[in-house]
Amino acid sequence: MLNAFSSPPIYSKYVKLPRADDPIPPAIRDNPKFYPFFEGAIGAIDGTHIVCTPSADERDVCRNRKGFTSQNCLVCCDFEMNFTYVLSGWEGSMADATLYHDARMSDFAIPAGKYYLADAGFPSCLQLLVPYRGQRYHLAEWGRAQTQCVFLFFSFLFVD
Amino acid sequence: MNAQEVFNLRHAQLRNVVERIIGVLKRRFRILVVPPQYGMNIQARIPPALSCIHNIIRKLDPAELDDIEAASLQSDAAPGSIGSIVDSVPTRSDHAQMSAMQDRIARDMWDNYVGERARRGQPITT
Repeated sequence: MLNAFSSPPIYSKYVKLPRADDPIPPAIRDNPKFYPFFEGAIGAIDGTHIVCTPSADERDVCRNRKGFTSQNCLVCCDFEMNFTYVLSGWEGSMADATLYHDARMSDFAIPAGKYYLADAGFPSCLQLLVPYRGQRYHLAEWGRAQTQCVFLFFSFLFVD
Repeated sequence: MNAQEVFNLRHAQLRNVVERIIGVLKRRFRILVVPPQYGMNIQARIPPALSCIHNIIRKLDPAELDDIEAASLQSDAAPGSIGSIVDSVPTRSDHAQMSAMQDRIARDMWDNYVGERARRGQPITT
């Protein structure tokens, strides 16, 4: 079962990278706050820690910056809440930027002119659009914005 | 408010989807929160498998029948339509080019934001 869902043909049928000729996602196209500004965005990318139980000799490399043992997974999704790319199995001590580079060197293809939205833990490069540093990074716009804001100071901790 | 803040705000709103999908996956499949005692090679395959199942559920939801029909009509990917694999680390010029685009988007958004506030008769707060 595990093999069936985590390898071709089933996995590759349902977890697919976006293509260059895919239309602009409705979530962007139909929202004047996002369109046309983010018309090149094809998804969002993030790293997430999944708790794991490594063997004794793997335990140290799996310990993450939060103190528990984990595998760090790189996750991409489209704006319709579908996964489009998952890289798993990296030790929890690995930074998101490292995972990204590893994925890009193997099978994570991004069409020319397109990019993913990433947080400040990722490198700024042609395929990733990251937030401005040192500015508020809000979760809500207009009205509630002043009470709900997140500052970016964490990001400096794990950026190369 | 300034252009960079508006950019960050909208960036966060759109990027939020990836936080949500990870939350959904971990709530739906508790194995991701309470790990099993398998070897790491097995544990490493669990997140992709569950992501796949998540996508299948998204597809099988009756409200998404249109998607399934659209998917069955799609032909195989034409050469060059998938994109390329990177063959080197990002260069300074990559970084500069993307920064310029970031600035361009932020500037356009700011104009849009200022215009929207003016239309509503609301002042820009700092």
